[in-house]
Amino acid sequence: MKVRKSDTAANPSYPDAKDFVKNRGVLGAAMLGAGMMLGGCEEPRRTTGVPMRTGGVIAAPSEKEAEKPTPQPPKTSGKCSEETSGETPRLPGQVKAEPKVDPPARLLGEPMVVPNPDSPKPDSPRVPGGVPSVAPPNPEH
Amino acid sequence: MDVTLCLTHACNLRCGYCYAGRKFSRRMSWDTARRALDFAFARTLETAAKTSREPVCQLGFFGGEPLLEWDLLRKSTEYALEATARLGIRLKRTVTTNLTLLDEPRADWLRDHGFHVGLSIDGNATMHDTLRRTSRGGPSHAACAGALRFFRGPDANGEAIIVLDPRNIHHLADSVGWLIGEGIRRISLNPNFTAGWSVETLEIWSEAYHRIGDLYAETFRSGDPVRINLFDGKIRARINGGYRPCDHCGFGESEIAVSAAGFFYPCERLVGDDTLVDLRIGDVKSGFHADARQRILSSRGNQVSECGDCPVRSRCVNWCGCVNYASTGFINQVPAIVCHHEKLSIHAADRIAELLFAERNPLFLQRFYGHLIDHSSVR
Repeated sequence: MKVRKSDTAANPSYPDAKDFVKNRGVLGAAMLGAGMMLGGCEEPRRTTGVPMRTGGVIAAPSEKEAEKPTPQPPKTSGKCSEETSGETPRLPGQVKAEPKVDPPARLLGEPMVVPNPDSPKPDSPRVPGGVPSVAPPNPEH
Repeated sequence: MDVTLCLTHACNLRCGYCYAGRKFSRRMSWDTARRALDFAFARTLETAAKTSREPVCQLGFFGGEPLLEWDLLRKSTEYALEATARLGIRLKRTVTTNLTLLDEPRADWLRDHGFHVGLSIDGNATMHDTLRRTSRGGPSHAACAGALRFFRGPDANGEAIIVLDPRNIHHLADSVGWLIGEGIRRISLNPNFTAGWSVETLEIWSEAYHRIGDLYAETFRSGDPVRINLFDGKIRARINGGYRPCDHCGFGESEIAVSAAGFFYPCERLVGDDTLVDLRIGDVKSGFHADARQRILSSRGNQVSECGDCPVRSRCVNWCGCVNYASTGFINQVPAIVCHHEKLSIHAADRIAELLFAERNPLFLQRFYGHLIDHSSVR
C-alpha cells in the first residue's frame, strides 16, 4: 500500500480549544447541566439560582458575563504545560495515542469547579509520602 | 522516567498476533528488578532537578504474562512504593494481563495499590477465541471473561485492550458492543499493523469503526459514556491543536523497558524474546550504553517525505518507533498501514464529535471541553 495524500477534512466543525473559549459562556451552561446529571461537585454558591438547561438548549450569557473582557484562548497548540492532568497512562504494550489535557485552572487563572472526568484512577490514590495528584483541585473536596 | 519490567518470557496463552517473541521460562530476578527500579528512580530525580518539575515515574509490569510472577510483582511494587515515598517521587502503576490468573484477592490488591490494569481481551468469545488460544491450542475466553466483573463501571481501574487483526476484524464492532454490555467503560483498540491487511479486510475495518462510533455516541446519549482510545484521542488532539511533544512516547529517553535478563530497550514492544541486540540501550548493571542509546534517540521521528504536507499530520501517531520498526524495519519510517489507520480514525472520530457537539451533548462537552470552562463565566 502506498501512502497517499489525505482526503480527510482537516477542519472538522466542532471547535478547537481557542474557538471554544471564545464561546465558553454559552457552551458552559450546557456543561454545568452535565455536571448535575452526573451528580457532580459544583460549588453550591456558584450554581444555586443559576438557570441551567441540559436538553440541548443553550442559555444566553448574562449581562455580567457580557461585561467581562474577552477571555484569552489557552495556549495549548504546540505547547506542553508543565503539568498535565487527565491523561490515561499508557499501558504496557499499548501505542500511546491519547493526548494530555491541559489543566484549566492555570489557563484561565481561576479555580476549577467541575471535577475533571478524565482524571484516571491511577492518579487518584496518593502515594504515601508522595505529592498530591496533578488533577485539578476541587475546592469542594 | 517511566520503566516497564518484563517479569517473564513465559505465558500461558499463545496468541496469534503476539509480538513478545518466543515463550520460555526465563524470569526476572529480584536483584534485576531492584536495580532497574533504582536506576529509574535516580533518573527521575535527575530529570526533575534539571527541569524543576515534579518527579513522576510510571512503573509498568509486562511479560509474557506478568501475573505468572505475582510474588515478584508484589515485592517490586512494595519496594517501589517505599522508595518513591522516601524520595518524593509520584509513582503511577500499571500492569497488562491476560486475565486468566486474576482472582478476586489479586484484583483487590491491584486496586488497593493504585494500579491501572490493562485487560487483554478481544471482546466476545467469537472474536477473542479466534487468536487468543491456550498453550494447548484451545479457546481462552471462558478463562478470561469472568475477571471482567472486577472492572465494571466508570470508576473501575481497568481498561480492555482489543487487538485488531485481519483474522478477527469481522467481529470487532460486536465485540465492542459486548464489552460495553459487560459494563466495561474503558476500551482500547490496538491494531496489529504488521499483519497482512487485504483490501477486503480494510473495508471491514472501516465499517467497524463507523459502527463503533455509533455505539460510542449512543453511550453519551444514554448518560453512561464509554471511553474508546481512538475516539477520545483523536478528538482531544483536534481540540489541543494536534499532538504535542509531551504527548509522544518517551522511547528510550524518558521511558525504558527492562527485559527479564536486565537489558534496557526503548519500549516493551521491542523486547520480544530479548534477542534484538541492536535495540538494546543499556542494562541494569552498567546503566545506559551511551552510544547505542544516542543512535536510537537520533533516529526517532517520522521521515517519510510524503507526510510533509498532509493536512492531518498534527493528529497522526506517526512517531511510534516500535510500530514503525516492526512494520518497516526503521524507527523513523511510518508504514502505509498506519497512514490508512490514522485517517480512518480521524474521520470516524470527527464524524461522532461533530454529531455530539451539534447536539450539545452535555457529557461530551464536559469530557472534552470541561477543562476549558471557568464556571464563574457561565451565569
